[in-house]
Amino acid sequence: MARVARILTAKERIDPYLDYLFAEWGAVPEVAAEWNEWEDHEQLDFVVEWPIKEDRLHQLQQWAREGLFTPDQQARYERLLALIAQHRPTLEQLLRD
Amino acid sequence: MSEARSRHPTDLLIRALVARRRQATAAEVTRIVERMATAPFESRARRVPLPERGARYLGYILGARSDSLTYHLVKRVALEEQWADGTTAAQYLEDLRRAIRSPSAQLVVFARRGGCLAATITPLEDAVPVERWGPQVQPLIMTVFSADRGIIISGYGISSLAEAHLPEDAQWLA
Repeated sequence: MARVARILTAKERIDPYLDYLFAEWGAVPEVAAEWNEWEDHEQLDFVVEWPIKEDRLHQLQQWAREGLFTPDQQARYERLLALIAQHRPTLEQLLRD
Repeated sequence: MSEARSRHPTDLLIRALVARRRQATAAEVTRIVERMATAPFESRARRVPLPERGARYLGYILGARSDSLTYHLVKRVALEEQWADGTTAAQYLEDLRRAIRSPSAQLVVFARRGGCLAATITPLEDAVPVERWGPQVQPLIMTVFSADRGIIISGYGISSLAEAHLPEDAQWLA
């Protein structure tokens, strides 16, 4: 009988989503600095996979509205939003066709 | 596009559908699905962004460069937990092919970065066996195929159709 992983609830996903998004958004300046050295297929993959990050951010925004965050998570979330605001213009340039 | 584009008739068909914004016939949709489901995954090596270097999974350790399938597998399992621990590259690809072939898959074609892409979006339960659902699994599986190169370039979970972030002029074929 195959073992089935326990699916995380929304509350249990908050910390891993925050970790993931801090890493991904934190890497945007480095990606931008190297972007012109990236090959076409590497750039396309980055663009095609970026929706994963927006999806997780939107889920966090929904859970924030629902009041699911602890105070620590709320503080981290606000730091994440600041990081995103800082890097969003750079990201938009990378995603532009 | 820095290399020769695919001349496969179905890849040409996808590119013509995108260029002319023509609706596909049922037979053409069947051809496109079969082409996508039998296509290889991107085979070229790719650079690994700094934060992902050192990620480990099934004996793989991501370095500065990785083959694309391994990179996507490590991301999907170890970094995003969309697929279950233990999922192999062959199983990940098998799930993407099942997602493409599922009767419940929605098929869309669109242009991005000057190239032509086809994608399917399929309910998770029709694409991935439950034993391969990871702790952070998502309700839909999206697969992306390059009609310029005739290869699958990505496959991942999303929480809703809107999260596919398709261009406004994307054409839904099925």
